[in-house]
Amino acid sequence: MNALLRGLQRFLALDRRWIFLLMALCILTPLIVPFGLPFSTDPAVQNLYQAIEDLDEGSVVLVSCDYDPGSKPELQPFSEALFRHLFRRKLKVVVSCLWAGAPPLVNQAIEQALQAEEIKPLGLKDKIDYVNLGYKDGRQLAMLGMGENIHATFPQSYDGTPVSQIPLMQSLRKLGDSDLFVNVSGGSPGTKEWVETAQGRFGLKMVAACTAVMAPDNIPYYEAGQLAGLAGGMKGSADYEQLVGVPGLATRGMDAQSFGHLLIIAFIALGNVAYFMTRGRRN
Amino acid sequence: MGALFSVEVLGAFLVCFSTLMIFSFLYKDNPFYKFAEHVFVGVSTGYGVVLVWFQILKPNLINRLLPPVDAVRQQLFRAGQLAPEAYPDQPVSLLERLAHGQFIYYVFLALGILMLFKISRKLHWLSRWPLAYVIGAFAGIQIIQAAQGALVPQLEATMKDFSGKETVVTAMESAGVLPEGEMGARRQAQADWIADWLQALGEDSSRAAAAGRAWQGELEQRLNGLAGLADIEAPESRVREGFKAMRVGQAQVVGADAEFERLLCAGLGGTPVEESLPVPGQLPTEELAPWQDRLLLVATRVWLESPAGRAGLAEACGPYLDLAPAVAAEALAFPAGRPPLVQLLKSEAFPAERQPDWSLPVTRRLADSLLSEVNPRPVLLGEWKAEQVRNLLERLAPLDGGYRAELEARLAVFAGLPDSTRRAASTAFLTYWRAGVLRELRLLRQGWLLHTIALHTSPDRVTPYTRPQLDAFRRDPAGFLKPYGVTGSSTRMRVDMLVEILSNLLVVIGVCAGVFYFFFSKKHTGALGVVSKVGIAFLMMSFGASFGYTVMGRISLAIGRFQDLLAWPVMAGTALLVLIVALYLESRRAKA
Repeated sequence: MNALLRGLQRFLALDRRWIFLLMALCILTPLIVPFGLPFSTDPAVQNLYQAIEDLDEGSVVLVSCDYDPGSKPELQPFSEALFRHLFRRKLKVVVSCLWAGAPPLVNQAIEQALQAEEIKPLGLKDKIDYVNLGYKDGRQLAMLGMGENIHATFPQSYDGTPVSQIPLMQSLRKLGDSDLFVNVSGGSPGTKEWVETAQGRFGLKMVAACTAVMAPDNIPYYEAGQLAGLAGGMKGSADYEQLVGVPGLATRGMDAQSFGHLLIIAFIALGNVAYFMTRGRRN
Repeated sequence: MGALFSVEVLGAFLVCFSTLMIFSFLYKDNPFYKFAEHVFVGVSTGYGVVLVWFQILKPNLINRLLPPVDAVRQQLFRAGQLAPEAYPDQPVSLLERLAHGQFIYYVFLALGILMLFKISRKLHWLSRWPLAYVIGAFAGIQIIQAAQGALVPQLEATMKDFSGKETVVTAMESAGVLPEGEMGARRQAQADWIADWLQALGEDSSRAAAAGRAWQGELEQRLNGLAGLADIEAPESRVREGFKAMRVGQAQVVGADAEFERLLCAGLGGTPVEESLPVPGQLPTEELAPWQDRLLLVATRVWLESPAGRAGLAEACGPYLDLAPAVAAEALAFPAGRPPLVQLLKSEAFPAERQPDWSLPVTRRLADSLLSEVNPRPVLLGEWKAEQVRNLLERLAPLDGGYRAELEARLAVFAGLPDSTRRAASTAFLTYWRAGVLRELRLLRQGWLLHTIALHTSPDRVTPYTRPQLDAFRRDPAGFLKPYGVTGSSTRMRVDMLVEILSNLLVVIGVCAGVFYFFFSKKHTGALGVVSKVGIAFLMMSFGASFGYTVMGRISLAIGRFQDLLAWPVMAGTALLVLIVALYLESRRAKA
């Protein structure tokens, strides 16, 4: 018994660097040797997927990509799967960004989607089937501006083409003209601002993908029906990849995610056991 | 050797080495971490400055105060002060550019400059003006935002039905079908709902098939599968009735549509439209007579379900000639439909200026209304340009609707027109008509059912999400459609209801207790103390849940970094080795 208690005391005094090392191993090992642990799809992500499936061919989808490289691991896989899904469904895609770091990531995701085998034969053309409008400063003011007149808010696309010369933009003059609004959000301004500023006011059918940290804040919007679907964090992205049928970086990261969580749970449980068992002894 | 030291390799090494240098802080604070941190801060600042200049200040302020040369030339050109040939070489002076600026932006520039007075001890008060402007503007936005976007919808969402019925209906609606386990309450409500569902399915298929073959093939295929489920066990008579109605509806639709099509083809004689153009008078009206009412009813019903139509037929008939040529075509071309519409159009409900010119042939009016519909400007048929027709045809998908031949025939009576124009016009008409009908059908309350059935049964649209459901459907169709709450275990139903009610109660208790915890006007003793403790327990649980998400987010970021490193495994390994050696040497140096 004494040996056990001594062991637990040593555990309580464990150098935190061992924990970091174990966590690194837990994450790295499944990335190198995937285990393929099963995971179930969240209903909120299923609804997001379904909202896109429900659109008719040729419907206009406005995607606001509001994130930067800091949220790339969680949201870029979602964006890649999203564009692939939208292109596959032959929907018209307009992308805007309220984060300055987003436009290059958007182009990257679109390029990746266009290279997909099932997308190539569709012969999608920039400015006709999709367009990246780039970044606009102004947070909620930009949202309100888009609600009134997107052409005035984004006078030109990311590559400098005047919006009046973009065929795709002729059918999208304001937020309300879109058949679906998708927000990919890494912080503020993001889903919260879009829901509160634009969703109700302009009657948008809206779905969102956000980082895991933001997910608890956005769940009430989903529960209240303000969001038709929600994908939170890397898990949400992995769910969506599964639904679209294009397992990518997020799906590959799920093993690592699970192992990381298991390690944290194990440390919390062991730490509590050790704390309570050695409490009297320490006193 | 050259490839070994290429820019890509160097870049990959730098990425890996920088990432690992940042990670090295987890081991201990060290000069390599500090170096990477400073580089990161410096690069970020530089990037931020460039971004603010090129993305914010230059386009939003500078270019508006001092427009670029091209923008000035464009303005001059639009104002007629610049000839096209002089356009590229026209010199534009700085003064001219300033003169073409938007002067209101000097106010914003001034406000921005005032902000800089924050650093002045004497004049720092001036910085409050721009701040007041910003705070005032955002307060205005936030008030509406908070009320419209958060308060009201969130309040609405908390007004829940404790019985669990709402959850059941929502689950069924979102599922589209009735998978086992999705239902859980109120047998009668379920039975009614299912009956309505099935009946609506029959009605919709009837409308869809009558409107053309656009949906028919698809629906037929899907409904055959569903209608063959004779062994559905449904104790509630309403459910059985619903299934019966659906099957009867389907049988009527399939039979009726085929018969209708046969008659139509016989009437047109199967002759190519280009060679012999039958006019409405040549249609076998006697044989078609039994169908006229139905056809008119279907067309009118479909169109009247549009918002404009709901206002009443009398009000809608005027706009119909402009907005809904399909209804006008249907009504005016059939003897049974013409009198009531003409009568309505001539009634006093319409002002004189809206009265159509009855001296013109009916077809001409139809043509005009068609063209004004497919083209935003009122274009006469004779002025229809070949280029516009080509563009239209490119945009519109080819048609295979059941009414194509008939409608082509009607449109073909536009005398004196070239064949190409006639074909283009009829195709445009058909496309518009078909799209309109389909749009209206989709707007119907049950429209999603058609889509759901297609989604669940069409092999080319099977996705990982629908595949398990499709497999379940194929394995046991009756069981898949069997409403659990009606025919399944009542214990399971009660458990579901109980869970739902408990969940709702927990939300109410948690919210109330949490609010009481923040009520500080009375000491938290006695009953208030207990409630406060419950409140803090709920708050802790919610913080825990949030923390769980935060942990997931942080691990995701670590995974992302490791994925980046694994993209260049050799470089990452080399960088790690170099860093370990460097850390070792540095630690020895520090000890010495």
